[in-house]
Amino acid sequence: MITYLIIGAFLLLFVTAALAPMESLGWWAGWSREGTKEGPSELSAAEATAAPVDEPDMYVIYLSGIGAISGDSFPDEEYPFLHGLEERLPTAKVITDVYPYSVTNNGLTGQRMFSKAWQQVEKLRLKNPNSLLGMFINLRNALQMFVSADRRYGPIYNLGIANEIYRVLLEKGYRPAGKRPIILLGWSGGGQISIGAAAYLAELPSPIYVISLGGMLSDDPGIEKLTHLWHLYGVADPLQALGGVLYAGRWPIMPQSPWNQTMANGRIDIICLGAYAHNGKGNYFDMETKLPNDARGRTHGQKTLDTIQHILTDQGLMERPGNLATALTAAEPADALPVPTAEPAPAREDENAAADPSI
Amino acid sequence: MEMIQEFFTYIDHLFQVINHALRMDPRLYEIVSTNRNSTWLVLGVVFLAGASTLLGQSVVLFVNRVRRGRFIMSLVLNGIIYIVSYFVWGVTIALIGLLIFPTELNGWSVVRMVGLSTAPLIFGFFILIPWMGPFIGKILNIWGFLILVSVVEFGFQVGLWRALIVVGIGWLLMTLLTNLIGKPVIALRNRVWHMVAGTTLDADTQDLLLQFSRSGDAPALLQGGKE
Repeated sequence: MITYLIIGAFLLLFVTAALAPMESLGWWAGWSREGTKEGPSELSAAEATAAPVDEPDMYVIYLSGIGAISGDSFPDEEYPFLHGLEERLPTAKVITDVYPYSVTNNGLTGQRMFSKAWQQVEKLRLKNPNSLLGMFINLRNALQMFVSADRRYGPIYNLGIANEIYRVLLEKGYRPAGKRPIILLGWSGGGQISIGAAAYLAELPSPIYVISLGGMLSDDPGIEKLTHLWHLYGVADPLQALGGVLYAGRWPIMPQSPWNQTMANGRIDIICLGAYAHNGKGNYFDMETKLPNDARGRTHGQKTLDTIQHILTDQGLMERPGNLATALTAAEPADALPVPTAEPAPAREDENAAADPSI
Repeated sequence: MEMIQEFFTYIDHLFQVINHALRMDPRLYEIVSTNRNSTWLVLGVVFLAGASTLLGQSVVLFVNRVRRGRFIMSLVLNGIIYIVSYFVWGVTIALIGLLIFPTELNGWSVVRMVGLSTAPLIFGFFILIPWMGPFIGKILNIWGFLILVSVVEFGFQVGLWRALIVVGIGWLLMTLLTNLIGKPVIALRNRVWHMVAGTTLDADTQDLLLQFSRSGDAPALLQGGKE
């Protein structure tokens, strides 16, 4: 009996996995038009290419991890981080309403056949963030991430996501003529989808950067079209390390793969944040757990924010934090959110530098 | 009523045959030789294998924007193509076997048994699974090959090496035939495909995206993204 149950469960899992590419393939073939949003993607060509008016310095598009249920419903822990991000990047437009696990930006609770069921799962997760049913969201979205990374489906899936990113960018005021930098900040599965979508976004005149936050990255051909990729990871995060195992193109024995070629060209930086975990205590967003050896007594989440800020500053995309701090003081900092450090940490050559290699 | 009963009996027997074939059970030969419906059972297995394998590789149909009706017809067509292909393959194996190991065995049974080597491909739709699908496809093909070898072993009552020789010679012969007289057959097959699917199905994802990006139907990014 138990054997049959196990076989049945595996069969169900396999069938679910086999059906995973259907949403994007059906979208491409025109079989399903559910959830397609009308709007700025239908902006006239003249409007989309018109001279920019008062654009921000850059656009940061946050693509959430596999726990996201829609473009406006993330796991709770991500909200303080996103608020902190907005505060630290006052000259950027931070965009969070792209749902990276649907080619039509249609969240699980949107217009779908099983939306009612997903709504129930969302309610349960709000009551209990560790609810086992929440794992179904993770499974469903993880399969979509694999669709993005699969060379058979990726070109279609990533086109859909890139198109949605572009649509939302236009909605938020982006104009290609302004050539403002676009930064895709992808957490976990969002990291892979960022590099996948970058293959198409690179067609825009703006430079395209990707910051992967514990992303499970494949050797997606989109990497070669990026201006730069920073992969931030924690040594206690085995999930992000899976990317380097599952995708042969990331193995050192494949020097001609997009990943290894881009690495060789110096356009990928791998940055270790410390003993970060993928989930739970001490993850990338954790604003409570202090880092054990941090000279400034920061939490995990604060250091993640500092690192992102440092990367963008170092790249010349924003002003030095010193000037920023002044700007922030003048611009009413939000309550209970971390304030950026006044000075970037000087390069240290002592023991702390080894324990705190990022910034 | 009787027809419905016969249908369910057929389905029941089909599952049994698939089960025995997947396990490479020696009783399979007995079932195929004695069951009066065995030809239909084998046809059912090969047809399902063909349709399921195409479903597993259906990205090519989706990429070519084949409509739903044509999609279903394409699966049916591939089932029929599999039946024809495995019939030729079965006849080849049976002839080689009978030439090398003259026995009193019924060659027709061997032809049917060869068809059952497609049983693992009934799971061909699992090739759709992202990342591990192509690997599953390879496993299913190896599994099918092992069934084929065991079918020859058992059908002609020979050892592993002799069975491998028969399959090897069969493969060589099929390759030779494909190169010598295969072109018109392939051309005919492609014409039928074009009729059923409404496309040549010879473009890959990248080609089609490139072609599509230049058309008026392209999404906003591909169309208007460039300055």
